[in-house]
Amino acid sequence: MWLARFSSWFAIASLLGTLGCGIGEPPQFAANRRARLSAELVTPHAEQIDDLLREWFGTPDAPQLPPADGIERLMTLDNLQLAAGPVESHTVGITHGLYRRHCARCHGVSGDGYGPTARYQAPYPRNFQPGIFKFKSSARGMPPTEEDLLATLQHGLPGTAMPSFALLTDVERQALVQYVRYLSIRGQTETALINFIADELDYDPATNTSRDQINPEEAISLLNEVVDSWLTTESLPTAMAGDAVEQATEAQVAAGEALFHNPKRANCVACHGSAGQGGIVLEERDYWSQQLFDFERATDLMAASLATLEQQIADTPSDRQDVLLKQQAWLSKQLRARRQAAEGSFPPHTSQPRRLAQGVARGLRNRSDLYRSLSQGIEGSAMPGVGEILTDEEIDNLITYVESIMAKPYIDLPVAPAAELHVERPSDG
Amino acid sequence: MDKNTPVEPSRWPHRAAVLLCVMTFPLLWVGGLITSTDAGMAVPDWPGTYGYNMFLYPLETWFFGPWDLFIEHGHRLLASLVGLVTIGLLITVWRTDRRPWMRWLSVGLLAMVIAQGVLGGLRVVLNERMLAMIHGSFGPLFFACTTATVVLTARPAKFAGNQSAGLYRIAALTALLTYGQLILGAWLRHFPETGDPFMFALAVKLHLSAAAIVTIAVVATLLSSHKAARQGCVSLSQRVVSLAMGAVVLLQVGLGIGAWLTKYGSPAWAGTWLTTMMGANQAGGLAQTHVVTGHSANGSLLLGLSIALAVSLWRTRASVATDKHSATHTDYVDTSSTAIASS
Repeated sequence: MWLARFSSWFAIASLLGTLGCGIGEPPQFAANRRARLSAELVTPHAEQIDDLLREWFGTPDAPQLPPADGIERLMTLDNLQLAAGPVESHTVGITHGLYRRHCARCHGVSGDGYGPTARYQAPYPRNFQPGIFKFKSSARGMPPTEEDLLATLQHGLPGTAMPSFALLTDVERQALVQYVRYLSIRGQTETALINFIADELDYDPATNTSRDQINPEEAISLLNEVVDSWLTTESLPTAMAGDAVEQATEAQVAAGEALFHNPKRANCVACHGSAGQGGIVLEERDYWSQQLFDFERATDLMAASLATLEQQIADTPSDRQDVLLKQQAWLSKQLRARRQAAEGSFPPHTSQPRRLAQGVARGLRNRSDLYRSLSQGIEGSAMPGVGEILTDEEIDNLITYVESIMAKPYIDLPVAPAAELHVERPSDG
Repeated sequence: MDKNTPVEPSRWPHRAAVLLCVMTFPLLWVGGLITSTDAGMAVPDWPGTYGYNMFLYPLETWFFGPWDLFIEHGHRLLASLVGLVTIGLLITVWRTDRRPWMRWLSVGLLAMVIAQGVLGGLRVVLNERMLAMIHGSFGPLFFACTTATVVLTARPAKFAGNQSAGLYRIAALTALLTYGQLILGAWLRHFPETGDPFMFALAVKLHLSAAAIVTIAVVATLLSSHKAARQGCVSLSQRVVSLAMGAVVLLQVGLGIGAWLTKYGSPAWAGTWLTTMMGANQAGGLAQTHVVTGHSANGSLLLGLSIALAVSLWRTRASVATDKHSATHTDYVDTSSTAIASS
């Protein structure tokens, strides 16, 4: 009896403490603040975007299948529900909340790469929202295939904090892959809506008013466009066999080395160093850091404009300052919001090309992957493609040379084929 | 019986205390493993397990079911056993030890183990990570109390020298600092998925700073113990415990570095050589889960040892002072305090 009373008191005290701290409230997807601020979105449009996204995608605890054509070929509601929500188990062996259990601490609940542990990771964990992934077999500009994402989960990315999730079941890995797609599609749709409003609709950021709203049919067509890119993506054919060359000839290695150092051909030496030793810091940034950098630069420019405006106000007679003062108030408000958004982001990094000598190739797991990365570059990174400069034979030689200087170029594990979307699993009661 | 009358001391309270201490340490390890594998919610209910009475849950499902269920249900059973041993300790102390504070200490231990069980249960029922953090911080405190009980139920160190007041103060301060560090570690381990990255960064910095401070405190304890040993002011067992603290803190630094590397890879400032040489960690793999769990359990061991040393020094100082004032002090059970060093 006394134990029950003690437990009740303890429960009440804990609950009050928890609620008081705001802990235990269901998480929400974070808005893409930088994109919204860059577009100078007005409140009515921001609210419309929020409403549409909530209606189409649900919340982190209760996800929904977005109403796009063919979405069921990309994800199932069962799998989204298995991956979403808090970590809990109601049936022996079935764990819900897989994303929060395995991914959210780094990639963030919203998939924006802003998880609590992300600050000290190098590179920062991937922001899924732009839908851009480095290690994939599809064409540049296209999303990764299901197999690409499964392979990253299966093997991890050596040399980064991304671990291998080989110990999860096929069903769990697939649920996570589908949830990553869901987060990407949600993020891309938000950006598409913001861009559409910025380009097509009439609104006045200074008065925070809009004359028109986005048409539901137009909105759905934007969603369909995003989903369609995920439906149509496919692996590019490769001229290379998947396995490493057992015995490369000296001539092949020498030819590859010559291309590596040739400033008019592959010119790998400019970024990876004369012996592939890396350590060269470029001025370029990868896509994600560039976004952060551009936003910070635009904020600095806005601050400079504000300073000029304030000088102008000081030089203007007080009876003619009305318009300038309004402009100053709006700029100050924008600047505050942008600085808040910048403070809630990580500092942008410049690119540090991979060390190849005695190094690992992260997500490039076989000769085919190396071929694609050389041929068309690595999406999102500063690594350019040389497919239009070199022949397939030359790329083959270059790969042979790179293989010869790397410690562990490949993971010799077979890439698991994508399982069926509707995987049989025990019913969750 | 007059409480100042010398009696033939019983060894049972000390045996029970050693058993409790030795059983609590693996319980901490299993608890840490639950956090490392995020298996805390593998069983949705409490105090039952999937609707069964906890003690009647089918063995087959427990042993051959999923890993997270195995570890979570096992933690509950082991914790129940620790609770029973605590009751056993309380009974033996109340039957054989006439020191009032010792009796109330045994009651306090039982209250702690019950509170810890309720905390663990509420963490599950409310699915609240904050409670998991409190549960994870309270466990080491209970373990430290069991090490103190081992010392307090043992024979006091037999030697004639004056105890070093400085060593006692440093040992007590080390215990306090170590516990603060354990709480910071628990904060890091249970940091919510929705938490702010800059708060996590702050927690990391605090944990690293506290690690340096605790290491300095342990080195100071070692040096002070060495000096006291040369002056004949510490017993062999106290010297052994202080040396063990040094070894544990050394291991702890290594485990801490390993915990970060197996979880998050090498940080940017570590340069390219380590980053490029590291393969991918395996989520939930042996290295990732056991290195971080070992780091957590080893921290508790350091706390236990520093508490044991501080209590042992306090006790010997007290008994020497009592001897000097010609008071009898044999109204408690004596065995050997070296047990703590081995446990």
